[in-house]
Formats: sequence, structure tokens, C-alpha cells
Amino acid sequence: MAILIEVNQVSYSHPVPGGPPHPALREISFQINEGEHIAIVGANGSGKTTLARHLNALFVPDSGTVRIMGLDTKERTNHLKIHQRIGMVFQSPQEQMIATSIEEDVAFGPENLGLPTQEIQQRVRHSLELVEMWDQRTRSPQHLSAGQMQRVALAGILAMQPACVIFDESTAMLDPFGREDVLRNIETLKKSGITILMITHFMEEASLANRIIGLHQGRLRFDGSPEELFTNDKLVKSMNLDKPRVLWFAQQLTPWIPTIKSPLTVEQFKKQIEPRPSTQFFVPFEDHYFFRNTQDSLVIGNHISFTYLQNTPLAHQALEDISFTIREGSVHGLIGATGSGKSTLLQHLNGLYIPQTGDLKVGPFEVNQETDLLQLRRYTGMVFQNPNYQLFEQYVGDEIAYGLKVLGITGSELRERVKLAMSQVGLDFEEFKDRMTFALSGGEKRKVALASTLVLDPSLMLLDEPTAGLDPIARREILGQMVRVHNEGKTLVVSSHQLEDLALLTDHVTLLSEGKAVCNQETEKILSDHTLLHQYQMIAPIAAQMASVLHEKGWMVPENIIIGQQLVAAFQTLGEPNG
Amino acid sequence: MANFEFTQNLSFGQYLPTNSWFHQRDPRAKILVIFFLMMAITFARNTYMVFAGLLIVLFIFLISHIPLKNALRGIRTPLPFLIFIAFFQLFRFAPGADNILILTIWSFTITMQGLLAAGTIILRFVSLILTISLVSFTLSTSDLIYGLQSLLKPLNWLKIPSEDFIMVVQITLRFLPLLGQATEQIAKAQAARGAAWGVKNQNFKQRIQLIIPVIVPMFLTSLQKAETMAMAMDSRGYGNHLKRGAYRQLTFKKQDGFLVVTAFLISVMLLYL
Repeated sequence: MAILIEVNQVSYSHPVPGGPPHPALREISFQINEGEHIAIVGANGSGKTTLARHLNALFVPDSGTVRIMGLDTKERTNHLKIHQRIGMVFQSPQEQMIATSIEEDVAFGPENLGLPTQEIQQRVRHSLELVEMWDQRTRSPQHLSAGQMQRVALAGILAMQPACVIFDESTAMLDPFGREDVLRNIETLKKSGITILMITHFMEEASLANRIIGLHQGRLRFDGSPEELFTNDKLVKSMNLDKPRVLWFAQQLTPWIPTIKSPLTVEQFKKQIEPRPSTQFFVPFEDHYFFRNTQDSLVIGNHISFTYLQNTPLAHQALEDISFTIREGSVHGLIGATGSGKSTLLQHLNGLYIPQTGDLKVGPFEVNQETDLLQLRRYTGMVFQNPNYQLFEQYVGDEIAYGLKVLGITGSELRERVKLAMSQVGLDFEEFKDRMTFALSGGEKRKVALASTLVLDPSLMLLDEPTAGLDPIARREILGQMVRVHNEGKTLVVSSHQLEDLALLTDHVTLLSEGKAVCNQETEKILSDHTLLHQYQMIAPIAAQMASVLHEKGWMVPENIIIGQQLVAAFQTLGEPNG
Repeated sequence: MANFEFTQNLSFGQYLPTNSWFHQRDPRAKILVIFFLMMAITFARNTYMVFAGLLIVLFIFLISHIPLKNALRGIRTPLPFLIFIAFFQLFRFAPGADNILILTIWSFTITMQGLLAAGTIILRFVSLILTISLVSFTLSTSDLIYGLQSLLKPLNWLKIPSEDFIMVVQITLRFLPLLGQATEQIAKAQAARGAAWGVKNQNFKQRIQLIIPVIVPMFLTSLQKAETMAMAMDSRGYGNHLKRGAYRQLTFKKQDGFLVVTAFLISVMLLYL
């Protein structure tokens, strides 16, 4: 097989204004053959993106060489050829859209190649048809969902007829269906012989590759098959990664089902289990396996509706006749596809939006035009989805102190409360207070955002996609902090695409679809209902998927399993395996 | 209450694709027609000719099937301002032999000429606003960009890089909504932590104090966004020194030529009659 990319002893440092350069890559060497499917993994800040940008000549190494089909990236004259052969889909969908309509955006690349009009038109049509966006070609990118934008971005790359496509965390901001969609497209590309490189924090996605390149602190730590990496617990841990959950849970089931051999995906898990000759029944779970909360309602919403840009031609109804309740002291989840109204609903709870019709009661407040919004927002803290928008001060200490300063708190009280909030989220006060906010890693930014809300000691905390874009370790930390905050007696409302997280955290979940509340029930009821989830473009947590596979094979585990511990607990009720 | 909907105030591209005869014309023809009319209405000296200009603009609204309601919405906002300017026109002229005095209030005099001037100025601005709104109603953003690109091409002979200029226009149009969203997010984040956004009964000074802390982070995030966008453009091969291709090829038909010539002649008439 022909060599496509050759990386030889590459080192690179990010220039830091007024300081020593920050080393990002150290002496990395590897080769990529045509037609491979490679996942690049590593913790936040391990150099994945920097490496990827070397592979299509956006960055040029400080020392060492990168050759793309024999072309050295150091030669500027090679860049056009390299850009054409190696395409890149970025993480944030919005900023890679250049033109004002979809078709022209896809045409941007071919136009730069100086192709004749007819050829450009053919390519645009072909690649838009491939991602199923041709019938929407005249729309403006700003009105698309994140998933649709990623499809258009991919079409824009395909129109250049690349030999290799790099996906730089392209699925991080998508809902489960958007993610499936990207993965399906990757399969199609693979079949047509295009080399795939994907950077991801989802180990389940990485397991789909034929080869994994693992980075740790700018060094190449691993280069081999997914099986090799994930069955080596020590290595996984030393790189601050996590095993795919399927493997994690399956390994604990092997005493009872010996045919299981380290499956990395639910598909593999399914293949490895023999159907039972006789059905094995399990005792149903008692209530203490689930969170239960019987306290009074803290939030009551009745028939809430809200329309954006009301009375304009662009009016868009985001919430339609929503009724729901949230109990005091609970962790409540909001799920639904992109655009189903989760964020809008969340922003009603602290008065950023006021219901246009219906009543909303949050704790002691009736939320309407007369509400004292400052008091309400002191009572309900909100942590937003994208920490980049949320941090606006230069230094971490000032950022966390912002809310207190607005309240007029100064001096030693200010200092003590900031210190306390930072320790609550696991940030060392002395080490972090003078760090620049914009230079923090993704996980650290989330922690600062969490601390800056916690410092105000709200009774109700609203969290919008708290774990999106985090590496497995940072994600686990944030989840741990949320549990701790909850145990201190706060009520949490969490909106998330990560049903895995919600399965662990929440006791009740509200499912939204196109601005309507579909249901409002106990978490395990909704998250184990595969048909319901599928109908509303969601995908059940891994443990629930594994439970339904086990069902097919004659292991009748309780139907309401949603987390791995429950799966293992169910098998433990069978007693020790015999033989 | 739409406190945080900053994007709505950027009502770009209210394109109304009615697919009328006028809509189907070559973008270059439409740009030229609108340009000629604007020139004629701005510089016509005769009130009747300005009025004729207004009729012609309304005629174009009619043939492009754009409901007049949409057009009038654009006038509503600047109307108080127009009346304010027109008000001063009333008193501009001294009464004389050929200028009948209508009303005297203290030492201010309202004359026939003043009344006429006030009427003309309102007429002129209303016609201009309607003409400009024709741009957004009948030209999609991409029509506008491709049309301008083609019309400005001759500038390349003067070594002015018209394509780069058009790219700047295009990215600006693309960036404005992004900027609106970023501002919205930052304002919300500050509101959630106690800044008084959306709180009623604030005076002007308090409002200004709210805006200032939003500006710096807005610039920071915009710069970050711009950097990502530049990277995305770079990785798709922009900025090489090849001649760029074009996705759309505009075809200038006889009808388009006829339209441009007619518009040109009418404009000249409006200017010199």
C-alpha cells in the first residue's frame, strides 16, 4: 500500500507572547498508508489538534519533516496540492462556513482550485447529494442545526476530491443522531477508499478505527490496534484515557458469560454471546437501586410557550405548551435532539427569558414580567454550554469573584468565598487565581465556570451540556463535582446529549421534542425505553443497549437497567458462576 | 420579552423569492437598475420628478410581487427622524413675490416653498429607502455578491483586487450573525451572575454600564472565531495565487440589457427634466 503521510521526528512549540514557547509536539514519527482508518486519542492538551494541523500543512514543524504524498509541508508551493488532498472538518461547525448559502460554501474549495464552472457545479451537486443536503442547497448556513452544518462542512471537503479527511473532534458538539450521522458518512468514505483520521474523546468512536495513535503530553505514546490499547489497563490509565464502556462492563460479566472476549462495541458484544439454550430469569430490582426523591416540587411549569423573534417574519416557536415539575433536592435531566428547546427552557428557569404564556414557579418566585430578576438569578445559578462565552474576565480569580463584586462584597469575605468555591471544584486557589482564563484547558474552563456560579451559593443550579467536548477524565471529574454539589442539598437541572451522564446523575428526566414535552418520568423508565428514545432521535445508554442484547440471547436481566453497576448487580443476584 | 435577541436587529437578507420577472433578471442588471434609480432620486431637482421616481419604484414592487406592507415596515423606524428634518425645511425660505406666505408664528414664517421643500425631502427619503429595500427583497446575498464581483471586475485593470474586496463583503455578511450570537451569549452569562440585563426601570447611564463589560469579551471571542475561520479557509485552499473559478456563471440576456437601458434612460430623464 502506498504511503500517504510520513511524519518524521516532528517537534513544534506554540509561540507565547512575552514568554518561552509552549512545546506541543515532541519528536513524533509515524506513517499513514492510503485507505487506513485511524483514531487519534489523548487527554485535553495532549497535542492532538496541533498534530492534525501539521498533517494538512496548516502548521509547519519547528524541526523534523511532514511529507504528504512525498510533498514536504515546508515548501509553500506544495500547500495548495496538500490542502486539496487532505481535507479537514473542524470541531465548531459555525466558523467553518464561509459563504452565505450552502451550495456556495461547498463551491468555495473547488473555486480556489480554479476549476471550470461546469466541473465545480458537478462536484457541488455530487458531494451535497452524498451527505443528503442537495435539496436544501439555497439555505443560509446560519439557520441549520449543528449536525447539518457538519454535513455541509464535509461536503465542502469532498468537493475537493481529497485522498484523506481529518475529523477534528467533529462530533463533540452534536447530538447522538448527529454523531451517528457523521459515523455513517465515515463508513461511506472508507468504502470509496478515502483515508480517515479522526480525533475524538469518545472511546467508543475510537474503537471503530483500525489503528489508534495515542498522544500524551505531546509525545507519541501508543501506535497500534484498538484492542491492544484498551486491554492494557495500565497504559490507558497512564494516558489519562478511559476504556470504552462496553469493554468496561463486559469484562465484569465474563465470570457468568465466558464467551465474552473484550468487545469494544455493542456489535462485537452481541456477536460474542451465544444464545442461551434455556432462558435465564432474574429477580426485578428493588427500589434502592434507583434514586428516589419524594420531596415537594421546587419548580412548577404550566403550559409554557415561547416564540423567538415574536411578531417578525423570522418568528420561531421554541416552546409549545410545556408543563413539568422538578422536585426539591433532585437532579433533573432534560433530553431531546438539537433544537428541541432544552436550552430555551433552561433559560426560563432563571428569568433570562420570561414565558410568553403559561405560569412558571421557581422556588419562591413566580416568573413573569413583574419578577425581581436579580433576586431570581441569585436563587438560580446557571452554567452555560460553551465556557468560552461564559468567561469574560482576564484572570481566573476575578472571573469567579465577578458575581460577588456585583453584589458589593469585597475584602477578606470575597477572598474566602472565592477560595471556597475553587476548592469545591478542585482548583487550587494559589495556583489558579492568577492564571489567564483564555489559556485554560477545556476541562479547567468548565471548572472555573462551575465555581463562578457556585460562589453565589444558589439553591437551584442549571447546567447546560456540562460535559460536552471534555476528555474522559475531565468529564468524570465534572460529574463527580455535580454529585457533590447535589449532596450538599442543591437541586440540579441538567440538560445533556450524554444520556450516559444523565443515567448516572438524575432521578427524573423530561424528554423534549420540537418544543413540546413528550414525557416527564423516572430516569430509568425513559432511558431504558429504546423505542421511545429512537422515535425522538436519541440513543439509549450503553448499559441499556447491552441489557437489550442480553435479552435477545435469553438472559432476562431487569428491563430498567441504565447503568453498568446495575447490570453487574443483576448478575451478582445469580450467585457465583458455576464453572 | 426579547431582551437577548440581538440577532433580530440585524435583519439582513430579507430576501423574498417570489420568482417574478424582475427577480429572474441577471443580478448585475438588477444592481444597475437600482443604482441608476438611487442616483436619479438623490439628485433630481424637480419635486415632480422625485414623485415620478417614487412611482417607478412602486411599479417595480408591483411587478416583483412584493407586498407593500413589507416595504412600509422599513419606513416606519426612520419616519420620526424624517419628519424632524422636514419640519426645519418649513421655515427655510423668506416670503417674497413668488413665494406665498402661509402662516406666521412669532418671527417664523411658513411659506409655499418651505412646504414644498419639506414635502420633497420626505418624498425623496421615502423613495430612497424603498429603493434600497428593493436590494434586499429582490437580490439574495449570493446574487449581490456574484453581481458585484462581476461588475467590479474592471477595477482589476487598475490593480485594485476586487475579488479580495468581495470576499471581505461576503465574510462580513457571514460574520454579523455570529457576532450577534456571541454578544447574546456573553450578556446572558453576565446576567446569570447578577448583571442587571433585562431588568426594568434603568436609566441611560445604567444601561451603558451594562454594555461596556460585554464589549471586550465580544472582541476576544470574535478574534478567536475569525482565527478559526481563517484556518478553515486556508485548509480549503484559499489564498493561493491561481485564478479562482466560479460556481455560478451569470448570463446577461437581451431582456436584461433592455431593462438596464430603460432604467438608464428613465433616470437621465428624472435628473434633467
